[in-house]
Amino acid sequence: MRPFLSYLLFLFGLFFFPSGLCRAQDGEFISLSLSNGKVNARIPLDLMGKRIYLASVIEQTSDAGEGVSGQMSDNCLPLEFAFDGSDLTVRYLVKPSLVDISGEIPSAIGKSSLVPDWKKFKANLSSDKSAVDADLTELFADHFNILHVFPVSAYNSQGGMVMRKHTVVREKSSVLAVENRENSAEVVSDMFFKMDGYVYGMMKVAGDFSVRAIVRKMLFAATEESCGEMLESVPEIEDLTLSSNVLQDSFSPVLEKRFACRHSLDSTGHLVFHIDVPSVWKPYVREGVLAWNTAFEKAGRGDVLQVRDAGEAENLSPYDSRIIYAPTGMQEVETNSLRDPFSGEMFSTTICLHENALQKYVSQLRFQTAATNPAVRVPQVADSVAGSVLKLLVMQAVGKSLGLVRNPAASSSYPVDSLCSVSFTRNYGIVSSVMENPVFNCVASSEDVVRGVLLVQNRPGPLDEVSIAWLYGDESVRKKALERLRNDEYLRPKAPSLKSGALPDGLSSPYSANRDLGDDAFLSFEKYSVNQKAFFPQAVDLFSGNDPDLSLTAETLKGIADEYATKVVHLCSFAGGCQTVDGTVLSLPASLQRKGVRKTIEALRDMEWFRFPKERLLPYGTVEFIADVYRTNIFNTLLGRYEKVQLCASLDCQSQDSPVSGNLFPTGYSTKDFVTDIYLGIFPERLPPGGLESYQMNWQLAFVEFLAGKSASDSCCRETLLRIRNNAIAMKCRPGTDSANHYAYLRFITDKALNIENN
Amino acid sequence: MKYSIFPISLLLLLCSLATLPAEAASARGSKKKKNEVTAPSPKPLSDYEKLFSGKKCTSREGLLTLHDVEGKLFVEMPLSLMDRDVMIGSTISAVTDNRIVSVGEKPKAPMVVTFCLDGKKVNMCRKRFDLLARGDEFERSLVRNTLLGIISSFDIKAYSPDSTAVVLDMTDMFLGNNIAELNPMPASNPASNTQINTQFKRDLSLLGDIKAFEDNVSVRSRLSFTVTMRDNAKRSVIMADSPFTVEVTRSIVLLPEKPVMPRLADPRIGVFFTKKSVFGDSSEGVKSVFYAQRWRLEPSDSAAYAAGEVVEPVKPIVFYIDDTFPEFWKPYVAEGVERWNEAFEKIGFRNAVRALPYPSDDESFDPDNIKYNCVRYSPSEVANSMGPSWTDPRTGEIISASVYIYHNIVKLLSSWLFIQTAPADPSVRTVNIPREILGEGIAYVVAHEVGHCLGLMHNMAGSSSIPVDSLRSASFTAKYGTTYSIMDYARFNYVARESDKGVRLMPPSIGEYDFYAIDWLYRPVAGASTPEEETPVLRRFISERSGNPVYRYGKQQVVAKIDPSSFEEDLGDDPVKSALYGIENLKYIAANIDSWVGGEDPDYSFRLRMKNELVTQYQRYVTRALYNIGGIYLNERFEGDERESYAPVSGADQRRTVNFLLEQTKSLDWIDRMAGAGWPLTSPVAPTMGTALFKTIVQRCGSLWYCTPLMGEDAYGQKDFLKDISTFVWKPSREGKRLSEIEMELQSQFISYLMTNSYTPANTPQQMPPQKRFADESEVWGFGQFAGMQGALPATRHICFSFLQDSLNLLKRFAQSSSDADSRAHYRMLAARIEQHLK
Repeated sequence: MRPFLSYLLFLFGLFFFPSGLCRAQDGEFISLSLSNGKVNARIPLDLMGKRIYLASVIEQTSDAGEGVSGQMSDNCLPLEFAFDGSDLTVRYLVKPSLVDISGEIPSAIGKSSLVPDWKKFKANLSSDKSAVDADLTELFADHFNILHVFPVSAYNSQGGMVMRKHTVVREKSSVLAVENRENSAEVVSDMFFKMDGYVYGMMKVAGDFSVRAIVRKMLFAATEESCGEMLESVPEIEDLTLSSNVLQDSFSPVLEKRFACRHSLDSTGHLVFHIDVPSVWKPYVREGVLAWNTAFEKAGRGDVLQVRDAGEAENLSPYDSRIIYAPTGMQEVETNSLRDPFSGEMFSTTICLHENALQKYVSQLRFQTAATNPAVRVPQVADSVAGSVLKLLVMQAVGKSLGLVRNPAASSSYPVDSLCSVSFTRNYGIVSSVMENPVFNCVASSEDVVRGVLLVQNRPGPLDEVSIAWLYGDESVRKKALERLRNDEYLRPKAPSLKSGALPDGLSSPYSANRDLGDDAFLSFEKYSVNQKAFFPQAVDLFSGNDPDLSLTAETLKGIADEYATKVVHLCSFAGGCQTVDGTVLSLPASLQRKGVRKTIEALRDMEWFRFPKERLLPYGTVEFIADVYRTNIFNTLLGRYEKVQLCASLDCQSQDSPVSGNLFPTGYSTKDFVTDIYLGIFPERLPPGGLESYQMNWQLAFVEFLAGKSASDSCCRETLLRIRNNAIAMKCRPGTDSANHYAYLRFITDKALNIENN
Repeated sequence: MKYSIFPISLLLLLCSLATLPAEAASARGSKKKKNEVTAPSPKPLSDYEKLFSGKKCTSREGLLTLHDVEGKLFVEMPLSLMDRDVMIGSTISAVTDNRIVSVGEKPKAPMVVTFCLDGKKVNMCRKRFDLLARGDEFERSLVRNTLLGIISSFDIKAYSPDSTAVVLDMTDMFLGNNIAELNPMPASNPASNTQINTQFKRDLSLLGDIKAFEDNVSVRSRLSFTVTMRDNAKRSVIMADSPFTVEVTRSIVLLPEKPVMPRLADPRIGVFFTKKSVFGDSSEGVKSVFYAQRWRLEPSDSAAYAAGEVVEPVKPIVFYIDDTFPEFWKPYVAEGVERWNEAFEKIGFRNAVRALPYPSDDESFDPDNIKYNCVRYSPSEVANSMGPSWTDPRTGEIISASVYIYHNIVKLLSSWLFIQTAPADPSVRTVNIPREILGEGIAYVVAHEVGHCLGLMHNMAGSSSIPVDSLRSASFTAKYGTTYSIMDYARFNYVARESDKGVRLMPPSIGEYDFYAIDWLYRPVAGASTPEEETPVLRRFISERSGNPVYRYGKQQVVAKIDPSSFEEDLGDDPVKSALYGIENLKYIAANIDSWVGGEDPDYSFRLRMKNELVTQYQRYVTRALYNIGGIYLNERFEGDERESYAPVSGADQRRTVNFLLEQTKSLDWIDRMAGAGWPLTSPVAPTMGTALFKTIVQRCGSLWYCTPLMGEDAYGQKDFLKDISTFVWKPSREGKRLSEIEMELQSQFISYLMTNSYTPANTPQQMPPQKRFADESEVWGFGQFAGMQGALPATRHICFSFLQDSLNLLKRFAQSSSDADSRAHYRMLAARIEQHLK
């Protein structure tokens, strides 16, 4: 297998680099000069037909919400120059839709992969005939949306995705300076844009919004160490991949092959991150970067990641990765890498730490651990606490820059009891990969916290070590990594991979949920809710004396409550959920799905502890209606799992080319079981002494309406309606009571529903 | 305004003499050259000279030097002004049609810009003032990420002869329409509910007067448009492609070089604010801080002030009174302005606010200059007034403020005075309200608007803590008036009866809350040198009074109305009681209006108008009471404050309100009886109003769900509510009475409500995010507006179903027992509807 793969990759490389890459040492690079606002370029003839790249970086901006000072473009454009004696043509290199490694249809491939001319400039040969002179002002002063100077999309304050389109206003824009470097030619322009924003690409939400930015555009060559061997991806590793359609031979179907995107470490062996963040953040950012060195060391590479303070006036090259502070209210850490669209080689990465990203996750830490962790029960957490969160965010962002993708299944690796163990968490962390969406140890008890159990993941996990070994180790290291992955029970994936996108056909796995923790969600929830119940009633005085306007108290109580709701919804997701067993995707066993339904209803019942006597001292809306809202909304969410249960019960196979490997088998949990479990959960055989609570009546009504909607297509829903009708008739209630009225009403609407169906 | 050529010619002459001696000399010299071959060649004109050479020019020197050169505006801008913050605002000076904009209005908020030298051009840039950074590194990052946005770029035409200034051609800025903040035309007029589309006509626009002073300049432009105006309500076109010209004065004012120390606003007191986002304060993320908007008011003698003496401020807040006001208005307008001095004197400032006539001896005075605060009069049909202000965006310091009084405010005042106070005050029982009373109303309006100009927001709870019966007390109202805040929309005393002699019928000159608000906003905090140092003192000031309802602040509820004590147009602490008094007074008016104004109103126009006003006033009373049902009193509360954040209206009060309102639905005939013999034919309104009121009452059932869980032992729930309604609507039937039309209609409406709410066709329950809440916290408290709640529907259907079944049983019984044939038919019809529904 291996020799064949190498051969395949060799051929693959030949196809992708037919004209060869431009090398710095091949000769002088492009030389630019500025005259009367015009950018004159001298391009050595040696560079003609060789691949170079165009990228940009924002040096200053009028609105950091559009793009942050220091932020690289989202992409780089692969270009080549051609000179025909009078015109200099810039060609935009497009990745061919099909790679023929059989060599059987090169002519057809060639005709279908014509390199398009993109720009044309009048040009002359230099006096020594070694170079071409041309005015390239347009290339630098214009704006073209295929180069993403600003991030293409952003979330607005309502959480909607806004796509942005920028149009440069040339009369207000000007070229400020040019700079020639060994491997790049750069132009700095003061650019003025009109920006239009569209929500979901359709609805215009911002028009003619003005943005000004000092933008550095860079033409640069690939470095000598580029073009390392391309590595075909394996499904077990959650890595960033580049896909290509490959024709192996003329009798085989076209194969989609995925190759890992990664840095080339062949030359210096180092990846340097230039840090431009406030001093108070620096130690934690530094730790977050360097934490990955352990993983590299285990892969046989020492001191790979390095950090350096970005100098005040230092212009970084397109090869320099950077971590910058962004003064915006965005709650994200943005990570974007410049990479070769042909080979996937990553040149550099920009990590933007938006100010409110730290706030968001410090708040998450508070919401998840305030019950047990005194360190977060203060309005302003200590630097070391905030720093530990910052380090986690940086670790994850650096992980992305190394070619890893998020891995929401990594939090379901460890046994719940181990999460309460000081030694275990100190040795292994709380999740097996920092690429998991940030989650904090909400399972450990107050006593565990006092003993020193880890609350915030502080290192790349064992899964990260395997991933790094796979991506950056030599062949033997990779082999061992894969073996470890397949044999270690903690590391074996429990949920289908998400790296290729969402699971097909609406499937979902509770093991890849956000903010879940531990291998047993039910046990984890039990421990977590014990912590919350003990704490919540006292939480009104959480910041006593230090929160004058009570806003933080209210926000925290609501956050804690919302976190609880998220956990209950997680229980709900076991109904109709799937999992991975030895690489095969299966529906969850019936017992687990049933447990999901029952535990959800139990948890929703058990919400009286959300009420507490001092609620009127807090702003209106903090806690008064929370239990009612959750009971209604989460119950409806539970009903919404019906389709998932149906899907899991009916599908038993799938097509081969699906990213989900393996088959689905009916597990014995049908929609009938699902409906019955809910029925049993919400319809008591006897009336409780105090009658039904309002929320119970709501559930029963919602359930009846739900069944009525399904009864035409599902006989078990019709049967259950009949059962409810009979239950309503049989229920002994004192006349005139709420319960009596309710059951009379239930009988009325079930009759209606059944009649409607009979008609 | 006329654009006379004479002054331009005269100035051209002066300008020529001043700026072109070299040219003249050169010209003279050229004659000699013909004969003298060896004469030196003439000195070439400088770029500066070329701009004016041989052209008609008018120049004004001041903060900037302005040159009107044959209709083009050249601005000589000193280099020393580069990078300074400058405010540019527009005021309407003359207009074709004041339905679109009125003279004196500032149609857009001023913009604050910075002029920046950039090689051969000067950029007019927009700065972001809404962001702050704490610490050098955060500051550096913020600077990099808030590059000045360029609004316009001007080529430098020349340097001044002494090279201290650059000359820019700014004609397009003042005669163009590309800068939104300078566009005088609105896109709509909310007051008249009209939509306005305009097309700018550059070729019909020209430059007007230019003025320059030491600290500001102004440029008047005559801008022409074609305008299409549509009435949104009637969907009709009021004017189509009509020519429209507006003269607008743009003022350029330098902001203070030394910004005033801001004061941090507090949501527990109603003060306008300027919001800032602060970076770098902590790991808690971007923080919002709010600067209170206020004037820079500093004691002229700090030592005396500190010793407790009352002193004049360094710079008083001066309002100039429009000289076009009707003469009899002027003293009342001035009085309205200067009423606020009482509040300032309590905190040690004498003559802090001054009302002056337009100065006749000051050539620099221009009411359209943003530098001057004016109370403007608009001869307009609009029945309104406004008090906007413009602030330094760096600090919230109020730089300029205006009051607009539209003429028809007198119509509004007359109506209020008649409808609200005629029972208690015989002197207003007339078509023509006595001038001194109307004048007092004008003073009240002006004082309210000046309150806004001083930085105060509405306090809709201002009147809500006064016991209703105290409003009938001469001694109480003499001391407190009708409200604790003139910033409330508490109008005139509609509670007082004819027998309440000596009761004050108007709001106080300034209320107790207003004294408190001015104290909080303007009293210097001794020893504090930063906003943060002031804050503990200011917070304590409010907290110490948090138990006293006099100082309660109630937000204006623009979107959702939850708090029944925080309403416009209400009076007193009990909306039912005040409504009962008010309704009795309206009945008194209805019964006596003919005798009061018959002789003055031969064509009935006044009485017909008053009938409409009476209906409107009645609706105010019942609407205020309506929000008692499911009402929740809301308070901004800080830790340690005495008052709770919220409290539901008590169950007893809710039940009382329901019964009061239900009785009203059948008690409206007196309104129709108002139009007695001799009146023009008018449509009866009582049945429509009764039905509409009933529907509105029943719809409050949903709001009870939010309120009931918050109540204690006396909880008034949806079941109680429906039971009260049921008892009410079936009462005449139980008593075996023949049903009136309105009684039949109310029973029918009740059945409709029960049917609608007792069955929903089968559907899938709505999926909502689990955490979807009733309200976003930012909308409930703090500086935001309350915007409503949404969430799970309560379990009411079975209750309605139960009432529906009960109703069916009753109807069957009534259909058997009623002695009246019409009533029996009605019962059978309703029973059939229910049976069909239940089938």
